Amino acid sequence: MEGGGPVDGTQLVKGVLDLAVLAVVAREDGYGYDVVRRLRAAGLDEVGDASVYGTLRRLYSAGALTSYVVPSDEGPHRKYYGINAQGRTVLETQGKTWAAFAATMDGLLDRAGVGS
Amino acid sequence: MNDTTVIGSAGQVEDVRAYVAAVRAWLADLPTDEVEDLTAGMEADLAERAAESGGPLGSLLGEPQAYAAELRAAAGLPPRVEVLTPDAVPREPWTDRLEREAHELVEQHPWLRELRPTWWLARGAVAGWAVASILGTGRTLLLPTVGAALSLWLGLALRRREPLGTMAQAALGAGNVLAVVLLLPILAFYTSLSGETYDDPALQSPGYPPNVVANGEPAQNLYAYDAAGNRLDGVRVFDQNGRALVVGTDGLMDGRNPDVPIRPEDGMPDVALDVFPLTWPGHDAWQDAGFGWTPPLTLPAVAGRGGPTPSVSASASSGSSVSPSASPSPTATPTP
Repeated sequence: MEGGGPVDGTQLVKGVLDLAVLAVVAREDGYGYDVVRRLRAAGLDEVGDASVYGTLRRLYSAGALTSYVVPSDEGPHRKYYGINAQGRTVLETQGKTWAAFAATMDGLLDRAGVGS
Repeated sequence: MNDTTVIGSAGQVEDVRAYVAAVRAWLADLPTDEVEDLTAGMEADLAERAAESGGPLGSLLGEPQAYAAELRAAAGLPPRVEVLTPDAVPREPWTDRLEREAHELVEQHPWLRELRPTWWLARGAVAGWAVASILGTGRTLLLPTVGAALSLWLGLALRRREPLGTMAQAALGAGNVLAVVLLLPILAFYTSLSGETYDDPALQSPGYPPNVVANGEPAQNLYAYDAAGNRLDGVRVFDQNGRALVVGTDGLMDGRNPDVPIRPEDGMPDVALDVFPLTWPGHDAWQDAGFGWTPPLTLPAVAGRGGPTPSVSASASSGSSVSPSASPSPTATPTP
């Protein structure tokens, strides 16, 4: 988080965007805007288009995703991303970290009387 | 998800292409294959986005600059850098830089384009004025007007044409620069001209350049006679605006009058150019001033204007008595 400003949804999403994108692609291969749409449908409204495309690109560069182009007769080609073995490992590890973190936060909030 | 690419309207396709091109431009400092990877599929994604929401991408996604910044931040790429090392890029010649910056300025502020005809008129007027000054014609209105018209025509003609050759372009550029440099003093000249009204003629110092013109040539001297035909000395003449009439200095400076005193501070003749006939120490103002004409001692009195005063007959008689020296002059009518 930058600047010490108020923590809003956008900032929280940034921290877990890798995990969210990996989770979406793990269910089914998808192209850029398709991933954006599925993230929004899942409730992550505040995710930025360019952030998702950049994240897909970075995960691909890091070796966590595969990529292939699907030509189209009628319009521009689409670039699909799919998860690979390394990506699944990352998803699993980060998923556990997230679960532990979320449990910790829940406990903290419970004791403060802000139950979820 | 579906596998059919959504095709938007022609306007949307155009909008998407422009947006992608702008984003690519903001990524242009990255390696080419990096840009290719980042923007592959982007057109399809954005086309679908636009078709779904049905609005201009700029309002859906924000400025391409911010979009590109977000894209590279999420992709773990460095922010855009503008600074290029001198080693990496050959130094741009200052003329190119000037041209590029001017071009960018016009791109960013398109209304500047509207000012171009005004500039064409101004530079033409400047050129006309410069020509008028060099020729010394004193036509400070006609030639600038002609120049402005020519320049406007040139500007309009070039706008419709293919780009000029290097030489012609350089000449045009040099002319434009010269016009800019000359514009200021010329504006100052015209401003001073329009502000030149004299409430008190006596206070007005003789100006320069000469403003007495006879048959298109600046007059070098004036000889005044009264109605009775007598010579008048120390005459000062004013026009309808109270401007003192001043003659040129050529007759004093070109060597035909070597005894003319010269002011050391500016090298100009130390002679009052607005008091006629011109005079200076050791010189008879009514002698031939080196132009081959000696003003007659007297002229015939103006008919009906001399009045019944005795002076008419007196001057006439004195004129006739002395006239032998002046009598060869009837051929020398004072118009050259």
